[in-house]
Amino acid sequence: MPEVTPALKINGLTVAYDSIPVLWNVDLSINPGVMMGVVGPNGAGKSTLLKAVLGVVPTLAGRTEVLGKRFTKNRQQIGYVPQRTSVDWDFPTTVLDLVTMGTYGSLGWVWRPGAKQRKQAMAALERFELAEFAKRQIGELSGGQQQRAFLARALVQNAPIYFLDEPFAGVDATTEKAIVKLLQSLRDEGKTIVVVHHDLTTICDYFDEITLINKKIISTGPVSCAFTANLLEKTYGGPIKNCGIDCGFRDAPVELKGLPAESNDA
Amino acid sequence: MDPLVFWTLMIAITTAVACALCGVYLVVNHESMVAEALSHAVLPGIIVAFVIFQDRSSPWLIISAGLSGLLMVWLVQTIRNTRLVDGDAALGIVFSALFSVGIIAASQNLNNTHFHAHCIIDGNLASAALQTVQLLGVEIPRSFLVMASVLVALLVFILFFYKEMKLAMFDAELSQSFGFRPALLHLGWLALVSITTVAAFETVGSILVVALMIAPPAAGFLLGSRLWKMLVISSLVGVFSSLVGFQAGYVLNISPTGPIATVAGLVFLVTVVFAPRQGVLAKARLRQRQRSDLFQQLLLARLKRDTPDAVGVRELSDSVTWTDQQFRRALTQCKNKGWVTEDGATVGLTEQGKQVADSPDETLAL
Amino acid sequence: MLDLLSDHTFRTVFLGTAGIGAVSGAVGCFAYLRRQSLIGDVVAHSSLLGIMVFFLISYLVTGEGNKSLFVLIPGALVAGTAALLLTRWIIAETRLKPDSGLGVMLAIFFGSGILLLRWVQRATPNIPGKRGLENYLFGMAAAMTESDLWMIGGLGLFSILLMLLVWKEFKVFTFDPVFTQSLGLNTNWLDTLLLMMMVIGIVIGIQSVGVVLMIALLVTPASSARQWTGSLGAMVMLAAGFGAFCGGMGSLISFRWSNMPTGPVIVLVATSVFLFSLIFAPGRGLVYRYARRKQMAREARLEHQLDIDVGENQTGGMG
Repeated sequence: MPEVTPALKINGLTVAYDSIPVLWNVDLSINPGVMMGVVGPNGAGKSTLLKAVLGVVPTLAGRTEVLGKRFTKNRQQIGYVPQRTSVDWDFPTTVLDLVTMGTYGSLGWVWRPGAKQRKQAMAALERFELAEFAKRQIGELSGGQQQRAFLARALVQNAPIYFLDEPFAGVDATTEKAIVKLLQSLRDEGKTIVVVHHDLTTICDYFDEITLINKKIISTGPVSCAFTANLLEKTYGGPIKNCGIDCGFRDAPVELKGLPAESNDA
Repeated sequence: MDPLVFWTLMIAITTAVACALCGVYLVVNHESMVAEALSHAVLPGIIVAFVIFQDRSSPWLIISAGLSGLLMVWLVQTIRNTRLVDGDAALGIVFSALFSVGIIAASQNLNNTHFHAHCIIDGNLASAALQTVQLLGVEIPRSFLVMASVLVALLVFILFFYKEMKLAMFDAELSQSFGFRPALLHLGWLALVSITTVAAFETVGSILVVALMIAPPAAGFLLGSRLWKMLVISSLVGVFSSLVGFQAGYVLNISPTGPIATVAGLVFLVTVVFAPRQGVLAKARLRQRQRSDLFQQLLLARLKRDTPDAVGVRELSDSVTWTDQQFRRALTQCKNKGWVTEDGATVGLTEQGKQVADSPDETLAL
Repeated sequence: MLDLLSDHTFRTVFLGTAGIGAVSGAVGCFAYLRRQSLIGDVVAHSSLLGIMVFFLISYLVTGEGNKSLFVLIPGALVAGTAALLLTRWIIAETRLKPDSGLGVMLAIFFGSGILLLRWVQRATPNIPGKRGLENYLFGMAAAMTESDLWMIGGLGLFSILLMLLVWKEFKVFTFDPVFTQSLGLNTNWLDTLLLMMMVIGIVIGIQSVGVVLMIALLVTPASSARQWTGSLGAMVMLAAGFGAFCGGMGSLISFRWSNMPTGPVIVLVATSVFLFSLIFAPGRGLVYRYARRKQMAREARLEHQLDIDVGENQTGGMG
């Protein structure tokens, strides 16, 4: 196998809130051009994983390399899409303004966004079919449009790697499909995409690779290998009903409806 | 003891306990600043009643002030319900407006009366015991009677609705589904808090109402783990602050309200630092111990993954990426526990170490 | 009116209060949007302690208490900042919530400020210069001198310039702190700068509005401005305008009728502006909302009558 520089290489990452470990000794390597789902029960440290890599929460130990360089020296390489509910959508700003915020990192202190940045933002808005809303206040958008605006903001960062924290939460099915299509087209352009995801039934459709996590990494790799009934059971800490997934599940899709996506006990 | 001093102290103590009881629920309910807002918003009620009845000791003062407190609660809730304004901002807007109305009214009608800024902020604790009424042949200060009846009302309310209030604070929806009407309970409680504020306001002024309603309960919140313990501890802290502050005011020859507020604040700060479980020091000690456990476990985990048998110290310390000092300390502690052997420049896991590394879950609650 | 404008004292006070209103209105927008409206109350109350301490220091050094804003405002800045930092520390280190942390700090700083104030007023031997300190409680705009105006103007200009300089950072940080951090901007610095800006916007007003009511000047114009616009720049400018209007009107009214205290009058003017905005602001206000609801109900009725047999063409949402 030829040696590829991983898009993201996490080594021994440990995060603790008040001495209670949230992430324990996480090793993870993600190759470029991969769409990766991060899946696990509530409180498994999925969001924390993204935030720790971004340096938003303090880490106790561990090192992160982005495209072969220490992340602190390579910050512009990751575009981050936080959970939609983490901000106040009544904030007085326009959709165009919101998307332009994606350029702030590369602008540096004090410099203001100019025509070039606004053009980038408009281009991103067009790609996400939001151009007509550019001058609206962000609160006037629907949930799905807000999510797309957040994606557009990450897009203008023009980063090779994207982190998305539950992008499908509170979004209707049509919009979800549209967002997945956009993400997959980004993936096809060679971007690396890491998505914190909740819905186990859609995993095989959406992702190339998957990481099962519950404070520790349970498994990671192509969906066909890393997403098995056994490993799921280990992740969620109990047997999962109506589920007979194993390596060959792509050929024989399984009924997953009765699955307790949120529960973590038997 | 001089009866005047005795009664003044009794007034201070009953006020402190009443405020503490109100404050516990405010602090637990994340609405401490409501105390600050109420202590301002009752002013117009007091002034209006005073203008009408021209009598400082009229019971209408308390009723009217209580109503203006409730008016504030209602106005804030109405503005919040429009969802056009942030909740904290609504509180700030309403109480400052009501207070301004009070001050302007006072400056129009009450020049050369007792309603100076002085009284509004400081109250008149020092002279509160002077105005007495006859009760069963004993001269009892009116302020004491007022405060004592407020205190009794509070105690009755708390004893009667203890369980309901607890549930309403913890889970309003569940409480609603049980048919307890948490909103009504909350409003009733705020009415009582409002009355307490007024009664206390008259004797100890606005600053002390705020101080006694927030500081002792905040200390109680860090000292007591259960609601009833918080109620008891907060009352004790309030009483202690009153007694010490009163003495300090006497020594400095100034109104005791400023000193009482300061003492209550200092008691709180001491609690923040030294509280046995929730204090900053205790937490730091606990954190350090847990951190040390965490680092040892992490070291074992790295050792186990990278090298089943042995590895160079240099390599290992590179792979764990903490500071050298943290690494050294964790390594020494693991060695002392017999989990790790260090042989010259290589480190290896012992049998016991392997076992511990296999099951970090219990110690770390993974 | 004309005689007032030619009055030197009035011009000073008018300019001063209008300027204070503008600065605290603009700065208040950030406090409002960060949902930290009540820190204005805590900073203002706490500044009394700083004022008293610096007054006493000036007394110890020169033998006479100095009430110039050049002495007192630095004291207010120190105390206000200290109260905020302590609050932040308590919230971070204990399980107390922000409201309790703020409340306790208010009690401690204001309580000890009152303690010192009363002691200074009563102390024997007499402390020269103590008269008028009491005015810091409810404000006394008429006490403003020309040198005070320079102090207020300088500090106000500084905080506005700071805001303009790091506008983009303040904006994104206020909106989405976590995203800001992910961009690699130093959020600790931003937080500190924002707090500094707010503390300045608050302390310059305590002389004319008073520590007790300063919160209104910070929060009320910002809340009013929010009703009229959906853009941060416009909101800040509007709030500054509202603030200046309230400050100017307040000083005008209290000069015209001598028994009207400036601070409360300013607050009531601001409250009127707020109520007006809440009710009449286009696109958002209560009147607009009521009309919209009526119209929607009418349209719904019409539609229901016209095409009863419209099929469901919406797919249901997924969780």
